[in-house]
Amino acid sequence: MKGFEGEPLTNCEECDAPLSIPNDAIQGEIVSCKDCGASYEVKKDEASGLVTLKPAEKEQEDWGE
Amino acid sequence: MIRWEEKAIAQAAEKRGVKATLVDLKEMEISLTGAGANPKVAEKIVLQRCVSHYRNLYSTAALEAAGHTVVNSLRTAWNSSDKLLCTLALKRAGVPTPETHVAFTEEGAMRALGELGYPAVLKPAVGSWGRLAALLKDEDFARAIIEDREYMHPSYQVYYLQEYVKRPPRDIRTFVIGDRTVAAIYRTSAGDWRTNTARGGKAEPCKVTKEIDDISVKAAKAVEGRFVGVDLMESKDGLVCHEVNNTTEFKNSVPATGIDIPGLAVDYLASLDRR
Repeated sequence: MKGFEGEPLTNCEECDAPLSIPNDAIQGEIVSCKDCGASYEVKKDEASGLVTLKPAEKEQEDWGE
Repeated sequence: MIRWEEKAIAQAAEKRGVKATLVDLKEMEISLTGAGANPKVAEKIVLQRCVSHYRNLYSTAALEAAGHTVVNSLRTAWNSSDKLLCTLALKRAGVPTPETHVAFTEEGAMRALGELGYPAVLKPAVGSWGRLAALLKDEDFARAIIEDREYMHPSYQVYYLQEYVKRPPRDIRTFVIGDRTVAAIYRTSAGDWRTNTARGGKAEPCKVTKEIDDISVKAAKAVEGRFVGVDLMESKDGLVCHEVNNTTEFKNSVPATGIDIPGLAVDYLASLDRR
């Protein structure tokens, strides 16, 4: 994994493809790796404006609609 | 977490000048015994969008107790996110629904299947995205699947068994907001008997006929739903409703229908706030 929580994650920890954060990303938004589909959650530090990605919660048995 | 749906709702609210705050349940705790509304949720109206069944149910209960109007309500969540309770609610309201039995043991399940006939469908009472739903083609197959369930969490030993409705290789998902069916799609499956778009089912536009609107609104009312997704099948005897979804997804339905479901949802929520 390149980077860890609290630091910018620039490459996918699953497949190492570069990750991009949408310009209009909002706190808590789920973004996916375009290559392998791994999910990341956008974390925004309100004070510094720093945007980082951390691996999203894994799908649980009770998830869905 | 913010999926396409939640972001679309937030953007629709911003566009309309409706104040909306996104609240992440992971970041909050709610007092069950304190007085008054929870300070972390400033707005009176709460649109519940949590993807987790249990977090959804219990946070709705806590927020309602704190004085919020939650869409959908605890009663709706309870009676729709559990398929067994949903079947009972649909039946009570006179909404056509597939023949369904419940059993609590392997032998009970086999007897129920004897009455339903094969093929039949086994679903977890609480479960989503078609997960662990099984098409039981014959008695041997059913016995094998049910034997597996006997080694799983006890919740999977509540055998919710449903007739397999003969239908075109598709079902219909409708979206009810307030007392109106605002959009509908056909969900066609690709090599899977399940049509869930989460499983690769394809969304195609479906005209909201009077028949579709009537049964959808009636099903929504059966669970007191204010913003729900209703699943219908085209049986030889007409439409039947097999499920109502209280935290409906519409990522694939907006482009398929061209209907601004998030915008309509925000308009409806804003109208509640004015009442």
